[in-house]
Amino acid sequence: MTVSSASRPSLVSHVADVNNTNMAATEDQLARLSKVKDIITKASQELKSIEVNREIDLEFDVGNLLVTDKNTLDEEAVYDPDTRPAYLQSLARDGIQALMSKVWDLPSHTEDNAVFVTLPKTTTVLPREKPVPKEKALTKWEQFARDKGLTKKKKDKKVWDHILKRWVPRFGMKKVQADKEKNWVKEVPGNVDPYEDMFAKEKELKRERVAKNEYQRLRNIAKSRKLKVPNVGVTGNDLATSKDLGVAMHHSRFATASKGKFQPTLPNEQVPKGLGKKRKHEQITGDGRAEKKRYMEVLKKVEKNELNLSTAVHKQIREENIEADLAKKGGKKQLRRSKAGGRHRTRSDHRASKLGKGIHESRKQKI
Amino acid sequence: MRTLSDDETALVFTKLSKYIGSNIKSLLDRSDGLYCFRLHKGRVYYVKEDVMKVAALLPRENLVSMGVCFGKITKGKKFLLNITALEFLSPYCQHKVWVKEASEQNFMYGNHIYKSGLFRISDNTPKYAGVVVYTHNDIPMGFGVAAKSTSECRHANPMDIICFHQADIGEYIRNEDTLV
Repeated sequence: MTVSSASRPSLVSHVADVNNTNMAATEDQLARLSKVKDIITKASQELKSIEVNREIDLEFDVGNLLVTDKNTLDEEAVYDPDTRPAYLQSLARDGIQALMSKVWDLPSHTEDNAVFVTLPKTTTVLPREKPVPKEKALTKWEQFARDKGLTKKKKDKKVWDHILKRWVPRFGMKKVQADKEKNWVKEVPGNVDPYEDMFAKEKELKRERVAKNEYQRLRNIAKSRKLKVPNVGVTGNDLATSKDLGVAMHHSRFATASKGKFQPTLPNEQVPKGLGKKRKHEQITGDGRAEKKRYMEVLKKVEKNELNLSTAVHKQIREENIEADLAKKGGKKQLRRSKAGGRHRTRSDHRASKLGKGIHESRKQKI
Repeated sequence: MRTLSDDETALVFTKLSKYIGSNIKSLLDRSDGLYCFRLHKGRVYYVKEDVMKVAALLPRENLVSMGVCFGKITKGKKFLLNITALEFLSPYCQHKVWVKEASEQNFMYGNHIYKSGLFRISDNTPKYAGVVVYTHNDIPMGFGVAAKSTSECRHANPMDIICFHQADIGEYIRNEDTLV
């Protein structure tokens, strides 16, 4: 670090002059002079230098407030943990000092007692924050034009109309008016219904063409945004195959709140099969225990359905047995009289009484 | 090869329960390993999981069969039981029909069982229940559907059909090509 002579030129040179001119100075003067010199050197050393000199120059990116020091470190100072903090701090201090001097060198302006400086453009190249944007996908027409090698031809705004013998705009209100002028009469060909309004028909066709163009434009947008659009059933397609029409029918059924589940079919309407979402099956070699659990659950459901059936069947059997017993000629065979006074009942009697039919006629006590 | 959907599993289980009732649990809860059902070319196979995992490696056209074929699921979503399921139905079945020696061959040719050929029928067989048909020597011969309940059988005429034929072991020879 060298003592800057630029900052305090006057004082030192004055001292030097004094030294040169006055040779026969008294001891007091000498003492005072040396004291002043000491003070000056001490003060300048305390303030430390504004200049920073290095073997390899520091690199500055003032726009980012970045200073890069590419000098090699003093290994002894760095490895020793006692000297390391002070050394590193001095390096940092020098770097910041140099940067600040650069900042002060920039043109500044004051506003409301504050000094503002406009930082220059940054010079360090930072890596991208976001990934590179993908190229926009070409629309169907653009792809076709590129494949075929078509070029965009500049079209004039006005077109020479040889029927009207004037320049007519290619598009717009004036063009429509000119067309009306030209087509004030329309020939009716022989095979067309004479009462049909040809002008209205033309208008209708134009409207259809406009709608088709609009649909295609929206379809391009949907395609670029990866949305799905049905390509049948939207514009009337006379050349659709039966498969396309089936798809259109499916779409029209599906586009309800319950996804076509409760959509009634028209008479003779055949719902197209195989469309709609494909169902997913479980993994073939998945968890065996989970599969067993699923089987058990299905079994439970099946048994619940079957259970009602079996009780009904058993009831039927019981009834059949009773009918058979009752229908046999002569009734039940006579059992020996019981001690309880002839109130012995058979199995079918019990069953019959349970069903509310009462005991068999022949068994009833005759009063 | 794919797993059965819940609907298809329900279909198979309802059919099986007509023959073996609640014993389907014993088909699933086996001590010697995990068994599972798989669909391959419309046919339902009952196969051990280890075997199934090996079979899953084969290409679809080259796999003929695995485990035991229980039957097939038709396009009209109906499950038809095959004779190959007999060895699993016979130990667990709830209703049995025994046939006299004379009409054994008749049944094995694919004819129904008449009252004249009936030897025995298990008690409380409801009408139209699934039955397994045995010879008089207690050898399972096939299965069918009871046309008459046990009580009705007693009062039936000799030429009445009491069991509709569903499958018999004679099919192993008759339908050799189409069995699996």
